[in-house]
Amino acid sequence: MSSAPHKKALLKVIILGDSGVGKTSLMNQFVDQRFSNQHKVTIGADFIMKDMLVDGRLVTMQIWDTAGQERFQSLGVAFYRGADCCVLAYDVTNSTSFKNLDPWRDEFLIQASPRDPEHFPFVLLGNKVDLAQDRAVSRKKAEAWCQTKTKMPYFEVSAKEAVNIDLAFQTIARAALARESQDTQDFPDFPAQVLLDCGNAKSSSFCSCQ
Amino acid sequence: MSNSNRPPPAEESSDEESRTPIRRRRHIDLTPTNSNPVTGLIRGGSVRDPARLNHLSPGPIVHESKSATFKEGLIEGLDGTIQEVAPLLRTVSLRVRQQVQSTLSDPLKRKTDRIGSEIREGKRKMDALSAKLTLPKFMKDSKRSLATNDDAPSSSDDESMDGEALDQIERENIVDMYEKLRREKKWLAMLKQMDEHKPAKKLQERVWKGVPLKLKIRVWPRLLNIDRLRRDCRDIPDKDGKGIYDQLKARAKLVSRDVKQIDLDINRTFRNNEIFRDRYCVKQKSLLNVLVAYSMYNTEVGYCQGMSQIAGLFLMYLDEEEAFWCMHALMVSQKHTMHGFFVPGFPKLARFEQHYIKLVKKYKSKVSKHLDKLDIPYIYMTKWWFGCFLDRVPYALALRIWDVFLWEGDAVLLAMGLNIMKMHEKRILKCGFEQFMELVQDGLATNFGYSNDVVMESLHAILDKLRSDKLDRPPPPAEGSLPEVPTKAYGPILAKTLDQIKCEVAEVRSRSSRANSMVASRTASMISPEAAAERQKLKKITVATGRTPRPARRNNGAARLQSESSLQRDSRPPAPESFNATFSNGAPPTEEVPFKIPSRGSMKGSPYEQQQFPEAPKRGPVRPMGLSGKEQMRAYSSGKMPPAQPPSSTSSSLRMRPGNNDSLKSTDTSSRKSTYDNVHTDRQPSSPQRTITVRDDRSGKLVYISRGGDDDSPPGQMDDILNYGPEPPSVTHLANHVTYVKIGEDGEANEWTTKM
Repeated sequence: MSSAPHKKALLKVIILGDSGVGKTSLMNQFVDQRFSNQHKVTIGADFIMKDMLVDGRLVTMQIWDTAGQERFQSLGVAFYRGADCCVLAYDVTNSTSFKNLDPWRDEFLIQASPRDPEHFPFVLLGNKVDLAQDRAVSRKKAEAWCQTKTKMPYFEVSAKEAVNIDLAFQTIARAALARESQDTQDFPDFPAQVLLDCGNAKSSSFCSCQ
Repeated sequence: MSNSNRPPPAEESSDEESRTPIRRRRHIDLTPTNSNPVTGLIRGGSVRDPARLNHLSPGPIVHESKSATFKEGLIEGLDGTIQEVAPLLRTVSLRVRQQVQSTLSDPLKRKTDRIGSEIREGKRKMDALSAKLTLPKFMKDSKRSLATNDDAPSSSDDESMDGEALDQIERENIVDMYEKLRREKKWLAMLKQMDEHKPAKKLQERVWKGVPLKLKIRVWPRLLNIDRLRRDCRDIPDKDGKGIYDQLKARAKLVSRDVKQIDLDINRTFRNNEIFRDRYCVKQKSLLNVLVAYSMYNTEVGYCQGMSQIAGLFLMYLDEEEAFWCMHALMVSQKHTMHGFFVPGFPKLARFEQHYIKLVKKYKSKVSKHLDKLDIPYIYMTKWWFGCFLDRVPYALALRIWDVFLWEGDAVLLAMGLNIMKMHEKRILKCGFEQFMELVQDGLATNFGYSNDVVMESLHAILDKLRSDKLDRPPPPAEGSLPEVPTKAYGPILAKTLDQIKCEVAEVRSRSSRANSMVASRTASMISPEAAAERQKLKKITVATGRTPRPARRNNGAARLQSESSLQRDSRPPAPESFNATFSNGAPPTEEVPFKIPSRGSMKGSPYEQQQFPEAPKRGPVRPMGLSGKEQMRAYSSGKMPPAQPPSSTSSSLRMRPGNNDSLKSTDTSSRKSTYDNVHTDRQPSSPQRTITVRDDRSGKLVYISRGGDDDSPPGQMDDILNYGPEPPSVTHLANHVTYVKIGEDGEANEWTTKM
């Protein structure tokens, strides 16, 4: 590509979803190309990085794998900020995990408080499609849900059998890249609820005027 | 040893099998597993990097200790060319070895020595093993040649001292065994002394040296003083000889709503350990028992991820009942109070993080500055505190830390965190963001780089230093923060007999099925099929659980967040998920479960969803067992919750609702939040003002409420079905200082969001 001299992009991606939907496995499959049934419970959050080529450009994916139990959600504040893309994962054999996507998404937007939340890139992954016989959420249903969320991209994947993983993460990287290049100052420096923020925004705009 | 002799496919598979998945190791050059470590070393140049050396070790060890089948593979892959290459390799590896030796720091030297001896040990074992096999003659021949080839590159000493070294190792092993026995004897004598209530002066010193594996079963419960705890909790066997644990276990399996989460996590706890490996094996069953029982005992904590590995660790050495009490001791004892870590809102976590940051700043200011510069989020420490370094340092070292942790208390957590920063200071200062995270998450767990004794010595020194500086414990929790100790009575479920519980479960089940059929017949004719289905679901929830389903918006993520600032907490453990009564098909497959896990139906429809547990005193000291049986029964009958709704009334549940504000507000277990019951506004919420003020009766705080931005979505399609009627606003404090207030206005549910 002609855009070779670009500096290496660092993309921060958060993966969210109910406990047991396979977030850690998805990540392991993406990063190490392997599936293990011996991974550990994720406590707090784990971090992985992977370099990949997106449209001829080298990007580094900084992925945060989170704990699925709800009470850990409150810790998100510590590392959601600055995310370029949020991956929502559910288990196609577990309709509750699908039902909970809305809350995960809303909660992410609250805690990360990105500017322009309407257009923040999310990608939905329906994991465990290898268990077709236990399927509880139809593709149609998931796609319909995505349509209501500003056409969120949707992939049916299997971490166990490495179905669609690369494709999905390519899309994730692309979405994150678009977001990142579009607006690097995506996140305010302070949480929105801190009053100082308004003052800050003003003063900074003042400075830029000068 | 050189890996180059190995046929590549065999090497691949040995790596696959021998490791639990290790996260990516791209940036720190830890990838000699795929390449030849010898050449890797030559290329890499800097041999000081411990990580590089660490990763030299697993390969050869694995290689040596492989079984006969692997060896056969080797033999097959052997041919003349290797013999030709061997002398060359020998020279190369010799040089490398010398170079490495000359540049190693002391702990690393020890390490390489140890590895060398391990390799020799493995080789001896393999030889013994293959001697047992009767190989065909040609294979024996090639084995011999393999042996010479294998030996050759390993080391120069090996050639001259092979026999001598083996002899030495054997002697050392024998001495070790005697030493171990001697220590065990000392411990036994000391334990006997303690049984006779004589003071054991050497206990502390010996705990620091490590509790012998065999004796953990006796020592750990004692370190946690669980005998006394059980007395305090009035753990007296009932007429069937069952103590609190057994009674809890039987009941909890019927009604604990954490079963699903626990089951998920059991499958991910110590699976690399043989005793936990098989699904639904004996130890996994024990783990379920302990965790489920505990979730119903300490209902404020319930089950939190991270507890499974603690219970798992205890179960490696103790029986179920002891593991249960040890767990409880860790949660509530003054030294440990892990309750504060695991309880929703994690009040102790933040306090520890802050204090730890302060300590690093004070004692390791360079590291502190570096980490600040890298902008490392504090989240990496969570697993340190929640699991006391399990999975974050090698298991053998974690065990040593646990010995001390049980005895000394949570100051050990801080000291060990600081110890890591101290011992790995140089390495950390060279780390970037990614390398640091890698180091903390996997690097140290794979190889700590120092022997356990050295680490423990250093840890001891740091702990002493912290104590003398009076910094070993963080400042006490701030006024008004979430309580870090239990505030409610333990095991409220014990007040009911098993038969009662079974009866109630059965009753609720039949009630819900009857109600379903009635609702279906009544509604189907009146409205569109879609709406009918929706309504049916709603009523099903209402009737089955006695809970009021909430408009869709209220089931949002914000509402599911744990409150950080509320004082009044739901007495029950958090619900596994919301609305799952409508999704029975989401239940995990239960047919292969050899023990009884209540089905979704029985869990959801359990009477414990309808009734609140008796209210224990909100504040004040921890109550050992809380109320006596009778008192608890009284508390049950005088509980605030209305009795279960009459079975026949599908419509009565709807009729009752407007007047039944309690159930509207406080029965909401579908979201893990706490709700302030007695909130009244300073104004009537009648006109659509942008800001209103609400006073919270309990904390006396004024809450300013302004119309939120992201709540413009319609109240939800369910509102036209359920007329909520006027109700006082309910206030929910969420993490992140966001407060949600729900206000009923002329039957229309409006939501307000506020930022405090």
